[in-house]
Amino acid sequence: MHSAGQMQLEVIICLALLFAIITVSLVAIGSLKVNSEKNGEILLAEAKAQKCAIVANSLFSNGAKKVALSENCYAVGIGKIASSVNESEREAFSIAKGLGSAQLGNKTVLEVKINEHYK
Amino acid sequence: MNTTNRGFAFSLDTAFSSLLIFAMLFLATSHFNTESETALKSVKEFGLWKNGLFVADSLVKNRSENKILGAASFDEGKRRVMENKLELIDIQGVTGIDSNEFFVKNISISFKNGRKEVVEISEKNAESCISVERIVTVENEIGLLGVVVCEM
Repeated sequence: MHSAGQMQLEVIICLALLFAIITVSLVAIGSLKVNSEKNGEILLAEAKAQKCAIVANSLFSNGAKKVALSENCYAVGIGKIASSVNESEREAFSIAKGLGSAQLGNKTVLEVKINEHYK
Repeated sequence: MNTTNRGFAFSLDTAFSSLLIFAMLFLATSHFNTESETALKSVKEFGLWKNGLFVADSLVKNRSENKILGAASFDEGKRRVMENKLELIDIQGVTGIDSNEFFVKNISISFKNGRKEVVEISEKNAESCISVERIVTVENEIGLLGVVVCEM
């Protein structure tokens, strides 16, 4: 039989260890959640930027007139289209020249200048 | 649970179990981080394919000063760009593309009679390259246009 003092020490050590494990687990899960959300936003922004770039490339080469996308895309520099989800911004390359912005109602949308095939 | 004569707090079981829990947590976080990086890498690779496909598409459908994005012939009579119809001199005049994501390595045209014209555009080496092919008409001969693009 253990003495009362030694039993208390064991309980304290076990409880401390248990709390440490719970704390580390919660921190790890919290960090995982934050990282997952961040990575998800980055992935979504990248996918949206690529989608907009594909449409812009198609318009440039195939002479279509106008296409409206629901994605929030905008031109950043020459030949670059970007999209952002929360604070994560990603860029995609586009062959389309003359990328700019235009007003469509109360929305600002990406504008692509068509490469005219009839001159 | 195995105990020593000093009590279970000093047992190896507890220490071993704690180590296992920490190890599992570490593995779980590493796994999820790797999954996210893999997904982003896949999207990037898709980006290279997208760029290659549309460069080849633009080359054969448009006419522009930068021949890499427009080497199709222009019919003066009809006043229109002739899609999928190229001139060899235009292909030989192709230069690189202005991008920090990828570059065009070379363009080639293979003909049915075995003749092949290759225009080297960049001598840079790259680990990740893709090739896109299109059927075109070059000086009234059917040929297979190949465009090789590589990741920067």
